[in-house]
Amino acid sequence: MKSNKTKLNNGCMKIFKMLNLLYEDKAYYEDVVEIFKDEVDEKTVNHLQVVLNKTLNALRVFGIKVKKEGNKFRLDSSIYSIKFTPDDLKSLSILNDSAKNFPDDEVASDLKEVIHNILLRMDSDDRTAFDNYNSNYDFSFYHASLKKQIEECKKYCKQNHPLDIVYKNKGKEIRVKCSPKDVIYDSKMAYLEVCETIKNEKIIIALNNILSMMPLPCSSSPKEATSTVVYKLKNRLAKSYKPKDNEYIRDYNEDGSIIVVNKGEAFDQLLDRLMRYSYSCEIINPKTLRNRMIELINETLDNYNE
Amino acid sequence: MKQFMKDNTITYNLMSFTGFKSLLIFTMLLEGPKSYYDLQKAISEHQYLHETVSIDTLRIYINTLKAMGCNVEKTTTNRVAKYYIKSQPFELKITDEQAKSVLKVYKAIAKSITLTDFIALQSFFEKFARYITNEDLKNKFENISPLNNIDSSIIKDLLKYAKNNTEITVLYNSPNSGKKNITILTDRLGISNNKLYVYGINSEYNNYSSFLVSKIIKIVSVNLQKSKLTVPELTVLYELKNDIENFEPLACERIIEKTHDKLVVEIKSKNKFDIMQRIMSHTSKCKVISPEFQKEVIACLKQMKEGYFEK
Repeated sequence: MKSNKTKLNNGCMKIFKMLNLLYEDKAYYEDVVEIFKDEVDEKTVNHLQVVLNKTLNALRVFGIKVKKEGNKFRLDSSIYSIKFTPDDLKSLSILNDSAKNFPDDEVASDLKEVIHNILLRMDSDDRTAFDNYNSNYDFSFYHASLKKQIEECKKYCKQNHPLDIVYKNKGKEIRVKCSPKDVIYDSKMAYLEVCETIKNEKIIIALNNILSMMPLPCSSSPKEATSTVVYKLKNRLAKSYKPKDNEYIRDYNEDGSIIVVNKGEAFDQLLDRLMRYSYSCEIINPKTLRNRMIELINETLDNYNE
Repeated sequence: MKQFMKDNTITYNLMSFTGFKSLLIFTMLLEGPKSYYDLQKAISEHQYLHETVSIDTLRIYINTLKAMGCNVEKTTTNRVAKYYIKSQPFELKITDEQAKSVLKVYKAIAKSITLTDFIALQSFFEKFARYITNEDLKNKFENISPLNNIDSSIIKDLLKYAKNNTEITVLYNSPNSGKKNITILTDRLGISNNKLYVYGINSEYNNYSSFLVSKIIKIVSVNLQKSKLTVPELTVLYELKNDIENFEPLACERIIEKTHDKLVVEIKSKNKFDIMQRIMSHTSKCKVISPEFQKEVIACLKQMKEGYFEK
C-alpha cells in the first residue's frame, strides 16, 4: 500500500527556514537555533553549532552573504534579486531621502520598511550603486513643524472621534462638526480630511488653518462622504477631458459637450479646480454647489469693482 | 571556511551539501524550466559537488521546495517533463498599509522633483505594483502618475528635443480635428492639471501652444537644422490675499512684495492660457494688477457668469 505522506528533505527544509527568517529580517540567534534543535546530540555538545556553521557556510559558498550583528543574522546579499535599472535606484534614493524627513512617523516607518525589504532583494552591485547614490533633494518638509498636530489628528482619525473644528477659509472663520478621515500631504502642507456630519460632505482643511479642534463627547459610526456633483464641460476641454479617479462621463451630448459625475471630492477643492476650466464648465447639480460657484464668480468679480 | 578561502576546497566538514544542493536546485528552477536530467547534470558537473543524484531524490527536493512555499509548476517539452518555480516565499511583499504610505509620500514629493525623476519614479511604481496584492491599491500604484499610458520613449525624445529647441513633426490625435501631422518648434515639457504637455510654437498658426503628450501617436520627423525659439514672455502681476501662508509659488513665479495679509506675485510664461488657469485657480483670493490681463480676466469671469444664467 502506498503511503500518502510526501517524503521531504530535512536539510533542505532547514536551510529554507533559515532563509525565511533572514528575508523577514527576524533571524535572531535563538530562533535560528530553534530550527536546528533536533541536531542536539548529548555525546557531542557542540554538534548544533557545527550544523549551524555548515548551513551558514553552504549559504556563503553559494554566494549569499550573511552577517552576524549582535544577536541577529542579517542578509547582506540575496539568493534571488530583483533587477534594478539606474532609474529604479534613483527613484529608490528619492523615496529614501523623503522618508528621512517625513513628519508622519507611521508613514515614514512604513516607507523605510518597504525600502529595507527591497534592499534585501538587491544584488551587491546594485546595493553599492544605491549606497553611493545621492538624490540631491532637500525634503525638509515645511510641515515638519506641524508634527504634533499631525499626530493629534491621526489619533482622532484612528478613533473615528467626532470633532468640532473651527478653521479659516478664504479669510472667513468656519465651524464644522465632522468625522475625521485621514491626514494627507502635499509638498507644502499637511491636511485633515473630514466628513461633515450633516451633509456628508468631504472637507479638506490645511492644518495651519485650524483655529480650534474639540473632540465631541459621543463616538459615532464611521461616516463616508457621499456627495455627488454633476457638471458639464464644453468646447475643447470636453474633447480632451480625462475623468479623475472619482469621476465618470455620464453623457456625450450632440453639441460636443459632456456631462461628468463626480463623487466624494471635497467641494472647496472641486470649486477651485472647476474655476480653472472657466467658461468651459458649468455645475449642474447640486443646486447648492451651483449657487456657491455663482457666488464665487461674483466674489472674484467684486475684486475689480472699485 | 578559512581552508576554503585558501584553496577553494570543499569538504563535508565545511558545509552542508544538502543545503547547497537545495540552493542550486532552487536557483535553477527559478531561472526557467529544467528536466530531472538538467538537474542531475548540473549537480554531477558542479565543481564542489560531483554527485550522482537519483530522480527519486530530486523529486523529494522539489516536494520540499513546494512544502516551503515555492509554487513549482510542471511543463512538458518534447515529451520531457520540466519544472520551474512560478513564485517563491522570498518575493517582496508590500502590505496594504505600506502601499498607502508610499502613495502618501509620493503625493507629497511629486511636485518637488524634476520631470526626468518623475519619469523614473513612474516606471519604478509600475514595476513594484506587482508586489501588491490589493487590486485597488495596485491600480493606484500603476495609474497615479500623469505619465501613465504614455510611451516613455516618446517622453525621453521630447525632453531631448525640447532641450535643444528642435523643430519636430508629430502625428497628433487632435481633440478637435482628429489625427494629423503638426510641426512644433519645441520649448519645454511640463505638467499642468495632472497632465503632461509639450510646449512650443505651432508652425501652422505660428503661435505658442501646448500639446497633450498623451495625444502624440509618434514623432514623424525631426528637423536637424538649428532653429531659434523667439517667443515673447508674458509677465503678469497679481495680488493674493487670505491663506497666503499656504501659497506655493510655481517655478515661473516670484513673490515681489509681502505684507502680513497680502502677497504681490509676478508670473512669467510664454503661454497665456497657463497664466489664466493659474489666476482662475486662486478664485476670489486673487486680483490681477497688470491692466491688460486684468481686462481679460474680467471678461472671462463675466462669460462664466453668463453661462449660468443664459438658457
